Amino acid sequence: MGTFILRRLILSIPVLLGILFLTFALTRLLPGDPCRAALQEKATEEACNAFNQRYGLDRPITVQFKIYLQDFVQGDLGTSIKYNYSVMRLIVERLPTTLELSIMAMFFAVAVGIPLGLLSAYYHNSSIDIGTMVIANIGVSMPVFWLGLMLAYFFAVVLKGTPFVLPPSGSQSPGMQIQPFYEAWGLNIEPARSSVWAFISNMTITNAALAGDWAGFKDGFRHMILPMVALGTIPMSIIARMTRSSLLEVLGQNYVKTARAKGAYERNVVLNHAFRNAMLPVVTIIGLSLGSLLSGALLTETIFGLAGVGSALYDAINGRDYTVVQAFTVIIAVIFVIINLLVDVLYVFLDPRIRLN
Amino acid sequence: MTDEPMLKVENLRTYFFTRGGTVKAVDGVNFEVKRGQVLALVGESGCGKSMTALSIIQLVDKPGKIVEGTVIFDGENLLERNRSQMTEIRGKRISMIFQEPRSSLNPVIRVGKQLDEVLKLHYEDMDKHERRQRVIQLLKDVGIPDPERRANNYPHEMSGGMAQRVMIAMGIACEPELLIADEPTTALDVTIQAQVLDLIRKLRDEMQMAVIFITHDMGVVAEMADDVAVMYAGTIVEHAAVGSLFEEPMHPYTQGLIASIPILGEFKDRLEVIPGTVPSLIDMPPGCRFASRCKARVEHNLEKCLHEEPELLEVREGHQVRCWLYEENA
Repeated sequence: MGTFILRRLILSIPVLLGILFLTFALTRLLPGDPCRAALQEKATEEACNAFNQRYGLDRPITVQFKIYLQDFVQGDLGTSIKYNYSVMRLIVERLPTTLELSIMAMFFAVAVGIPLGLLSAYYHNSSIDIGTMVIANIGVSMPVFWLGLMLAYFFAVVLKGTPFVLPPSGSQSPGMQIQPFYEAWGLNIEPARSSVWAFISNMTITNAALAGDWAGFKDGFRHMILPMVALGTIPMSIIARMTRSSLLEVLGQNYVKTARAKGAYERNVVLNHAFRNAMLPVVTIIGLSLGSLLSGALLTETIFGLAGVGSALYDAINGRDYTVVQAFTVIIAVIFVIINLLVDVLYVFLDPRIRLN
Repeated sequence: MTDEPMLKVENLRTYFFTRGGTVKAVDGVNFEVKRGQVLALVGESGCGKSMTALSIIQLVDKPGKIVEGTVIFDGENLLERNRSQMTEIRGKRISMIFQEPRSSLNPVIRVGKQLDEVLKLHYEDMDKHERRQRVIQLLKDVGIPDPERRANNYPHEMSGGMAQRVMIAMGIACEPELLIADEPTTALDVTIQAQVLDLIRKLRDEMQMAVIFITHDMGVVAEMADDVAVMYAGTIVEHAAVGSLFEEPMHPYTQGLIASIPILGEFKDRLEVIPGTVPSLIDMPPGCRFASRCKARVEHNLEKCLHEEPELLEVREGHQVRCWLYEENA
């Protein structure tokens, strides 16, 4: 298993190089230039030359790429042209929110989608089946932004004054101050703005949980419910439909008949014999939908006013902030590569027929 | 051996309610099996053999439904049991093995664990260690070499013959009173077939099980069975002891089946065939179901066959046949 993972990691190096090259080339191909975007249209030729020199944009493109690669290998992602501080710091500020949102949305999608699919297959062709599939089909066809707006309207406006009201924007209530967890633990560290400590403490809910701040946790969680549902609905629907069709197929297999002939209860047949076999295609779908989740996060963050990667990336593209665009694209790609690796590893555990060598 | 039948099936009817109409897969089947006896159910594909077997243990998939009949097992009508009560019977007192051994085993569970599951389901007082011992012993009983290692195999790591042995081990794990074997040798090559047949026979002798053996291979029938029931289009057309049936097959369909067996060393230009195909089970013609393919009907110029369905008549002692040719003999 160790060698399998190692080999897969080595194989992802060329993928990573390709991604680095593509993002580099594509950002350079964008019309417009960073100087005018940062210093506005009225910037003089001299000012722009100085600007380009400062960020190394006056050098030949091949040299720029070489420097970019060298810095990348050393862990230096460059300096944001727009904010004029290191890209790493921007990542530490923005990525935690997106990560937390994506993980929660995926959790929601799996935790709701798989049981829905199971129910649907178990009660095949009944009203339960039809009902769940109607929900799944509506869910899969609904644009994220529309669902987000409707959820925000319903839970924040219509239900205002009831106990079910939910906040439609931000990641915590105004005035809510959660101590960073390392301070709550009494650790005497002064974290830099781009450290692992800062990264973890920027995940609102995780930080509150680690710090033992129950009110903060509850508040953060309530803020995340609507974005989570908005972002998770499409993958949830896809997972539900996939679980259903996969399980129905497996339930027609001979070994399911054998399990029944053994005297196993129907629930045992479905959960122990059919479920694991049916999960194989579902795992693939889960891995793939994580990719679309990251892109859906952009819209969700915009609607619910969350300061995540999505909005930062959007700003960076508009501002021709090359380094930021490159860095975020590469990070998303790396996450995607890692998830695919995890899916492959999970496959080996689920299906003994897949040989490692 | 007692004379009381272990299993008595009476007037069993299993229909499939499809959009195209009602498919009468099993349409009024009667037979009985005694302890230690092997009954062969013979017939071509789609004649209702497997459905008869699945109806006995109530594993007929939707849209199929048992619409009529009784299945008396050890004095009790199984069709009166509900779903959860049937799980106590399946695997413990009546077990069934299937045609495709490798697809009949769950591909993601080790064979030892699949065997263990039967014991776990039916013997609550057995602990893990005892069950492991029993699993190894069962694998040894069905002739699997190196059973300790084989128990940890996944089905895809086994050959078809080995997998079928595992299926048989699973079938006999709880020492059932009745074993239903649905074409257990069809997917295996000939030398393995012989071994599997020997194994089933040996286990039958040792454990005095009743066996229902489903096959379309008359050679296997001759080797295995005590009694034979020949099925055609959802009904039994001839039922006799194996010797009587091979010596003097009465129903034109049975005669055709036996004539179609190639004999080793004998040269024929063409193998004998039964002309035509089984009529649609949805709109069965009136009269005898075999009439349209029957040579004897033409030879004897029988009109009745086309309009009136014959009864299963006892023509000689222990030899029943459903054919108008023997009307006077009954």
